[in-house]
Amino acid sequence: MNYSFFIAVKHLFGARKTFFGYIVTAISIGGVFIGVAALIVVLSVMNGFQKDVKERIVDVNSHIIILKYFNEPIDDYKSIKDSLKEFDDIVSITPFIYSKGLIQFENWTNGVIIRGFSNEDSVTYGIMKKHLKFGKFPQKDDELILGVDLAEELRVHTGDVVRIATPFGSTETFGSLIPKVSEFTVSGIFDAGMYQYNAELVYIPLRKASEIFGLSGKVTGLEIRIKDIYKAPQVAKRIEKKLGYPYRTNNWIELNGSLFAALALEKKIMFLLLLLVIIVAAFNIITTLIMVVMEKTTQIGILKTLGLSERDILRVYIYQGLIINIIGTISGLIVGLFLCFLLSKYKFIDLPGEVYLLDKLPVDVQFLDVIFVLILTSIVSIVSTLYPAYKASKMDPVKAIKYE
Amino acid sequence: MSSIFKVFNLKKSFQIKDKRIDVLKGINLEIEEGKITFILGPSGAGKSTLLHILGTLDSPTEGEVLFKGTRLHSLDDKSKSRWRNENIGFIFQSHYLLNEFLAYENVMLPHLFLTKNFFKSKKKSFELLDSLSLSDRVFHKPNELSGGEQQRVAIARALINDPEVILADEPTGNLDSKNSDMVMQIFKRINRESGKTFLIITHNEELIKYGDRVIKLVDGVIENS
Ligand SMILES: Nc1ncnc2c1ncn2[C@@H]1O[C@H](COP(=O)(O)OP(=O)(O)OP(=O)(O)O)[C@@H](O)[C@H]1O
Ligand SMILES: [Mg+2]
Repeated sequence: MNYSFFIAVKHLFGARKTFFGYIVTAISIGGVFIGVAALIVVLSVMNGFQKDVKERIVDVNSHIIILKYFNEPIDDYKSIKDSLKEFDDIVSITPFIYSKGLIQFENWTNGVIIRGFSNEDSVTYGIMKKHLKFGKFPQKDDELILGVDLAEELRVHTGDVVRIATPFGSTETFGSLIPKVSEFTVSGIFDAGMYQYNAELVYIPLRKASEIFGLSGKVTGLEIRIKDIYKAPQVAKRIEKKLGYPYRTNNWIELNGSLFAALALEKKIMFLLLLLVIIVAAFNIITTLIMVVMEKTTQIGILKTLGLSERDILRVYIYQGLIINIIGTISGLIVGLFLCFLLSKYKFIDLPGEVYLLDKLPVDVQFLDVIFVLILTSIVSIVSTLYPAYKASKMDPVKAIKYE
Repeated sequence: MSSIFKVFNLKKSFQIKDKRIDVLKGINLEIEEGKITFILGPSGAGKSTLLHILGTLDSPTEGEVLFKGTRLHSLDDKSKSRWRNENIGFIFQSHYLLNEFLAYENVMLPHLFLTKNFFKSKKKSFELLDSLSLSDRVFHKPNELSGGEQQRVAIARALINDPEVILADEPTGNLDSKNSDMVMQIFKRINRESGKTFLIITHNEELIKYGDRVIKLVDGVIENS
C-alpha cells in the first residue's frame, strides 16, 4: 500500500480530536454527493425534456413542408409527389390544408387551427390514431377530431355537433366577406402530449377543408416525413433545389429554432447554477482539510522527523481531498442515476401542462454529460485540496515537537 | 576515531518582531562515531535548537554541519527527509507517538517510508517490539500504554531503520528513575551491539555514567570542561 494513502486514510477517519471533526468530514462528502447527484438528475431531465419536446413536435407535425411563395394554394401536388419519388430519405408525402377559424359549441367559442388531412395518408393517420384518446377517426366528411384541452374548454364530448366558422364565405350580399359556417360531429378526441397542440388543433377531412376554405381541390402544402429527422434541413434544401420557384420549404428544426435555443440556454443556466453547489462542496473540502491540518499539526511534524518530505505531506493531503471527492462522487453518481431511473420508470412527477410544454418529467441520461460532471467535480475538488495540502507540507516540524 | 558530525561556527538566531535573539553563538563541535555523547546545560542554553539543526529539522543562520562529509544544509527538502529517514532516529521527552496509529503501526512507519513494503515493515516492527518486551502491546493505541511503554515504542520507532545516529532530547525527562535506567540500559545495549552513535540531551547528571563524553552548552556556546 502507498504510505501517503495509508496516512491520508488515518488522518481523515482515524482518531479525530472532536466528534465535530467527523461531522465536518461527513458534510464535505455530503456536499460533493449532493452536487453530483443534483447535476446528473437536472441535466438528465433537461436532456429528456429537450428530446421529448422534439419527439412530440415531429410526431404531430411533419418534418418538412412544401409551400408556394405567398402561401398560394397548390393544385398540381400529384406531379410534385411524382418528381420527388427519387428521394429515398422520404417516407411519405401528403397534401394538407392549414388555416385558422373559429369553433363554437353551445355558448363557447375558441380560435383554432384547422388542418385538413387526407384519409389515404397512412402515416398521419397512424400517428393520430396513436394519440386518439376517445372516440374514433373521422369516417365521413362532416366529422372531426380535436385536442383534449380544447374539448375541455368547449365542454364537448364525442358525438356532439360543433360549428366551425371560416372567413372564406360567399361575397355576394354586401361585397364583403361573410364567414361560412359548417357543422361537424366530434368523432374523436386526441391527446398529442403537448398542450399547445391539445388546445389548438382540429383535424378535418381534406376534401371538406378544401371546400370550406374555398380552395376547390387545391391544398395549402405538402407534408413530408423523412427517415432521419435530424437531416430535415439538408433534405429540405435538396427538395427546394429540385422543385425550384415558386416552391419553398420549411422544416421542423427551422420552425422551432428559437424553442431549441431556449432549451439549450436553459440547460446551460441550470448547469451554472448547479456548479455553485459543487463550488460550495469545494469550500467544504477546504474547510475540512484545514481543520484536519490544524488538528494534526503535531502529527505532521512528527511524520517529518520520521522522514516524510514536504512532497509526501502534500500527497497525504491531496489524497484526503481525493478520498472525500471519490466517496462523494461515486455515491452521488449512483444515487443520481438511480433517481433518473426512478423518474423514467415511474414518471411520478406530474407537470401542469398549461405551464410546461409537457405533462410528464422525462429523463435522458447522456453519457457525455455524466463524464463532464465527474471530470468537473474532480478538478474542482483537486484544486480545493491544494491550499490546505500546501499549508500542511510547509508545517514546521520544530514547532510541532516543541509545543504540546 | 572518526567524527560522524562536524559542526563549524554554527550560529542560530530567531527574529521576534524587530528583536533578534542569538541562541547559538558560533559552535564548533565534533561528535564521535559509535559513542554515547551527552549534552548538558541550563534551560534555554540552546541544546534542543542544536539537536534540531543536527537533525535537519531546523536550519542554521550561519555555519556548516557535515555528516560524514556531506553538507547537510545544502540538501533540498527531499534529500534531507530521505537522510533523516535512513540515518537519524529521534527520541523526545514526550513520546510523540501518532495517536491514529496502533503501536506497531507507529513503529513501522519509518521503515514503510523507506521500503514501501507494508508486510516487511510490519514484520520488522513486531520483531523490534518483541525485543523491547512489548510483544503484548503491539495492537494497543498509544494512549493505552504507560509512559515507560510509550517511550519504548518511540525507541523502537527510532531504531527500525537501523539509523547511524540516535538524537535524543531529554528522553527520560518524563520517566521515573526505574524507567529512566531502563531506557538508558537499552541505549547502552544498542550502542554496544550495533555501534550506533547517541547524542543525548539531559538535565539528569546521574545518567552521565552511561555515556562516553559530556558536552556542556551554556548560553549558546560550548563550555570546555
Ligand atoms: N522559534 C523560536 N523563536 C524565538 N525564540 C526561540 C525559538 N526557539 C527557541 N527559542 C529560544 O532559544 C533559546 C534556546 O531554546 P532551546 O529550546 O534550544 O533551549 P534548551 O537548551 O533546549 O532549553 P531546555 O533545557 O529548557 O529545553 C530559548 O531562549 C528559546 O526561548
Ligand atoms: Mg530543550
